[in-house]
Amino acid sequence: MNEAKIIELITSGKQEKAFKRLYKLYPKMEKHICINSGSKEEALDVFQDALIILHRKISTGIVENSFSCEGYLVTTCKLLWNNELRRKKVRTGDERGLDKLLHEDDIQNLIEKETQFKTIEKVLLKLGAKCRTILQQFYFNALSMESIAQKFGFKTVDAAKVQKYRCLETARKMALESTMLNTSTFNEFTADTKTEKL
Amino acid sequence: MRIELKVIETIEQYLMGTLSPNEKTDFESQMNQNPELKSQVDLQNQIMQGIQRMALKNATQSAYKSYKLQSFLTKAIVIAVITTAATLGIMKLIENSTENPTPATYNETQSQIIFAANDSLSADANQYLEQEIFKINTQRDTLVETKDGIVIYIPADAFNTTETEVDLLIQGTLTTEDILMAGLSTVTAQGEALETGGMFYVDAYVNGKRVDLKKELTASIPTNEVKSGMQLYEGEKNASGEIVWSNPKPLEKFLTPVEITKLDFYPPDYEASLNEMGYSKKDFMDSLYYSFACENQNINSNSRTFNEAYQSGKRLFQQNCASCHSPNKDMTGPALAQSRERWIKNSSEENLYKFIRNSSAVIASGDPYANELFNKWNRSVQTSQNLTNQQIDDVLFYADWFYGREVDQTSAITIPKYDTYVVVDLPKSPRSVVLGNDTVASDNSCPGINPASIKTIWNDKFNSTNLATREFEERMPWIHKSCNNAVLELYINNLDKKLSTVDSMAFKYLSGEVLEKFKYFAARGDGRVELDNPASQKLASYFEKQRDAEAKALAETRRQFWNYQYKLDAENASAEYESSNRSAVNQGEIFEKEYKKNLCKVVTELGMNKDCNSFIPEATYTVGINSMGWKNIDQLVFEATANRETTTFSKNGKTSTITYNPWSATINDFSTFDRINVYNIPVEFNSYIKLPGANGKYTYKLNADLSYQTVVLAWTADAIYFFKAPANAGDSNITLHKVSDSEWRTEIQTSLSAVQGMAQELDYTQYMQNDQKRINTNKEKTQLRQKIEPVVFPCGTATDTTATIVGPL
Repeated sequence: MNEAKIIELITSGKQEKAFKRLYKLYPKMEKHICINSGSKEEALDVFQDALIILHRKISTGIVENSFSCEGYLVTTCKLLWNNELRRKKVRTGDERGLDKLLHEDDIQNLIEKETQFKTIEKVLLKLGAKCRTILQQFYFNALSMESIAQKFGFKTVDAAKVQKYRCLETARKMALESTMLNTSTFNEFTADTKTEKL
Repeated sequence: MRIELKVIETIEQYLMGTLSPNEKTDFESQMNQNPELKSQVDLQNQIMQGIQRMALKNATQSAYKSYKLQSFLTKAIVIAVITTAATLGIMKLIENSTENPTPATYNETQSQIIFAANDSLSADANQYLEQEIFKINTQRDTLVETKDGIVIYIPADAFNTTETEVDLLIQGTLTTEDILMAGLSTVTAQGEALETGGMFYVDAYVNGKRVDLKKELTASIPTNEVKSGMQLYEGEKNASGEIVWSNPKPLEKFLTPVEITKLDFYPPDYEASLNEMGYSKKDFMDSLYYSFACENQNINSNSRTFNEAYQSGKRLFQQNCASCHSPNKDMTGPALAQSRERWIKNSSEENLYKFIRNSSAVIASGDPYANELFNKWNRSVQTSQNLTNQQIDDVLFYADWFYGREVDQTSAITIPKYDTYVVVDLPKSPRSVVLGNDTVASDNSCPGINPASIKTIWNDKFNSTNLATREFEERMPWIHKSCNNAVLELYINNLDKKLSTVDSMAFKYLSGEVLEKFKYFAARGDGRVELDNPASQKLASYFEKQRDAEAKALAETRRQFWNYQYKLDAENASAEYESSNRSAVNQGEIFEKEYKKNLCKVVTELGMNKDCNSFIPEATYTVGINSMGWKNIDQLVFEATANRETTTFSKNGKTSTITYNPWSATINDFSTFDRINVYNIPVEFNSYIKLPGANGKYTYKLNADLSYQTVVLAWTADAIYFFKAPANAGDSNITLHKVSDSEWRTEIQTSLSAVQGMAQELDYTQYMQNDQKRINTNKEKTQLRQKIEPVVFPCGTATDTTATIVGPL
């Protein structure tokens, strides 16, 4: 796979093409995850998360010449899946051949941040379609407010701006409401019964 | 633009780096001073990133679609060549291979097996395929996995050899490309074309000599899609050295054993719903789920559950009785606790009910005890209560329980009416709360699959059984949907049968969509995990015992927890009663002092040559102000004081005015506090009035001749809030501030403790604030349980009494 080409595609905003090329690695990752007590859906989810993390890595910083998209993606998938297994409390101690993987700390860092964004993303999915599109056009596709105003039929640029801020305000309210406390437990309900020996 | 939107705009500019350097420094210093702004910035940043993430996710998904399309197109070309009937090809070690004493040599240096030219098993294809050789220790069970992901299980002593090490050769071709490359046919001996799910070659050697199999090996071949009708064909070499496929056998549907705790036995959507609500910890989800366990119990059909009696009694008591009665102390009226015994002893139980509904009638009937009470309590009339017998029972139950709690916290309380009452744990499924003559709960009336059963099987005791398999996990959501514990028990009681057999046994309990699904499962022919019969019987009986034990233990823990919570609630209520008691006493005293002061003022200003103190007739308090006829000044002043209205008095051309000015205060952000208490302190009297109010607005009338201090004490679960300032007539807005420990100890406690009763109010505030967290948590838990209950028991409940409010709300 042509590493430089992929990096170029991502930095020039053609991430979809880059992703399509990277999907070549998907069958291998799917097998890895399915063997390690995962489902196909989970595998696809993990792979897509890894693509996003790779994108963040490349688009927010400079990567050294030796950087391998393929290697980075594979490591990210494995780490993501390990984390997932740990979260499900599935795996105890079985961390096959675990020398520290290349970039591991860096990736774990990005994963952690991404997890926060993922929570927010869930909230944003509940936002109206129009709001979502406006915000995406502005923050992701870096469209100017002028073209957004034109595209969405606002009379003035200011009207579009106000709409955008309103959307942000709504998003903020929804995000605040969704952050429920996750601290207390129902431990008083869990009994410790002595289990009989067979 | 609204100010809020302006703020959002500035934050955006800051985050996108479009502020000028000056503006940026300015904004950052604002942010440092204002933590709220800081968290707003953080949140907005997260939203921005979240939006980007959403777009990226879309990109990954559409890239996936075009990738799929592309690979589908390439595959379609290959599949077009090989079609129709399905196979899974295998070239299997033929049982008797003695005809070929030296079929192969093992090349140490290249780690390769070189087949003899006349070998009966291997074919041309073997030369094109990569060899994977595993050294197998024959004394152990071994699992090997090839690069392609074929997993082969080799039990100990599987080969016909005494050697301890065997070389196992595997050559696999799972992809169509490889199959074509290796020149393998996909044609049966009869010339039928096959669709292959992959082919592989298995062979074993000891020191270069082929060895036979003694035991069966088990192979699992990865596939993206399970196709029906796949069979296992054996490869035979024909004269020209090609492989043709024959002797098809249906594939055995092995179960996929998985460590049981890794499986998901929750009701469908349970985990997802909780995740959505922001709960994701496994411990938490387990404990919440198990809290729905149903217990087998027989409830006396006439008894009311503790919860019902307690909740109803508490509510009625507070609405109807609390203004004159305390549960356990004499106030305007006698303590209510044990009044049933007193009435039974001195009159009759029947009269007790009558008296509560209409005391005057019982007094008029000449009942001695009723008259004794009436006289003893200043001949004040007990307000008639329009309550049913059961409601009265509830109120008295509450009072008795409240009293009993104080007498003895540890031993059980005997309560006359409810001595048969069932202290049913409170937060339980409504179905097992039995009212009136409803039928009695048994395990089968658990509105869905009993969580206690799930708890019993979802642990390592049931590892290596049918239950610890992916296949059983697939059935679990549908077992939940059947809502029939009998279905689950079928699987548990028939661990020695094939899953597909049990599927068909379950048909009789099922209908509709669920039945269809189980028919589908049955048709799949899933097998079983090998288990000897005694073990399966032991497990089944273990299940039965343990399920009941779990249910009992869960219920007991819950009971203990909530009984303890109710004790704490009662203490909380007790503090509340004491505070309102204090307030009533204070109000009386202040009234008396204020009345005297007003009277003296009027007497002096009107030039009446009298000692104002002597003007107060003893009878004032009992005569009341509605009496008709001639009134003298002190009665007018009494009315003015009682009604707190500005009144002018005149006599002999002189006038005197008692002025009352309206005062009101609105607490800013009142809804953010769990509780607000507003006190006005007439400085001269050194006492306080606790003001009534609602929605953050409190009103009072200030006597112009007195100066007042306003004190507000409010709390949330996290802190106490405070305000203190001189009270001025008119409307004002009050902003409360959070109290630090040192401020509480020094300024507040020292400055206010001098005011009569205020020291106790401060203690009360501190106690209530401490207790608030507990109350809020209980409330949150109760609400969460109510929200999640439809997921836990998807069939719902026929006698749904979810209106039963649980815990102190």
